[in-house]
Amino acid sequence: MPRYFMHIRQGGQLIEDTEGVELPDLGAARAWALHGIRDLVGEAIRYGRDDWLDDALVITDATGRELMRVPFIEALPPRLYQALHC
Amino acid sequence: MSNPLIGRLERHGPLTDEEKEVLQRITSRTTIFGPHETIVPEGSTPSHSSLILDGFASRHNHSLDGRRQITAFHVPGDFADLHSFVLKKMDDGVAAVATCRVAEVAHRDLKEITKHFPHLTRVLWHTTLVDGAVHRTWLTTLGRMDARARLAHFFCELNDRLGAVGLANDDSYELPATQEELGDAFGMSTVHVNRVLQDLRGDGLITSRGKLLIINDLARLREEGQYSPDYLHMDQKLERD
Repeated sequence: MPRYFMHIRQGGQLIEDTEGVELPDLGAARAWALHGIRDLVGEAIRYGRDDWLDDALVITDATGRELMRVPFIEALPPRLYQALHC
Repeated sequence: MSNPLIGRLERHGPLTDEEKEVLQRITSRTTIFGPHETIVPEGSTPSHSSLILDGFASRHNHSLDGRRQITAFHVPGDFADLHSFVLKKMDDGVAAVATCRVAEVAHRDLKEITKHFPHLTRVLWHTTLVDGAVHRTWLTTLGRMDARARLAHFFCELNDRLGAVGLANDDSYELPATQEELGDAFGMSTVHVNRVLQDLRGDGLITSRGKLLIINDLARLREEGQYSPDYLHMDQKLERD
């Protein structure tokens, strides 16, 4: 199974994932990413923080090549996403 | 090679030569388990209890929908399932996180200890009570602390537990657990675990060098994790008859 690395893009800063996780394909990596974002955002909301709104998860392969970028707001429930997206 | 169980138990008071000999004898049958191998299967009924001599192991339960919760990490000197001597059927499982050398201590030998060595019986009982205290403390961190504090607390705990068996030096130790294993222990996604680890590094609390975890500022890490080692009862002396 390929190893996917999930780095957090926050403003100009990249919080690197040096360990990665083995998953069957990029679809599974996206699902894994969405789960991770919801976990992060859930805790941020619990503590009243909204500093994550412009963050994104950057999924790369082991060579560092970007495969997909998942904005945090894409992990929100549909009506919240629509309210923030327009 | 010195036996980490004897070292750990002697923190509660010196053992007699006879007691040390019997511990050495009952822990002499060893097996090696590679990373992620099962040491004790969930739901099995073992005829021995597994003592970790080297390595790093986890105890886990699976929810009915197949998701894993790690309920404990075990280090050298820990019995992962001393309770199976009394409870018989395992309600959880034990797996190697990193390569483990495990002593398989026959339940019939433990029975002999309870017959002939009252002090050893009490001091082994003490270890299972501390296991329970660690579970209660983890429940408290899981229920009442944010993710960063939970991990800070765990890193302080491990520093003390590994230090007790000579495996932490200057507040640094080998932590072979992956982000996924830490996540399964502390109720976090791997993305969240990575985020917290990088924040702790960025704030100068810890440094990682491969699998080596270095605590740079133990006082601050303890404060963030609201950590006090009292629940480990590490140097509490047990009275002899």
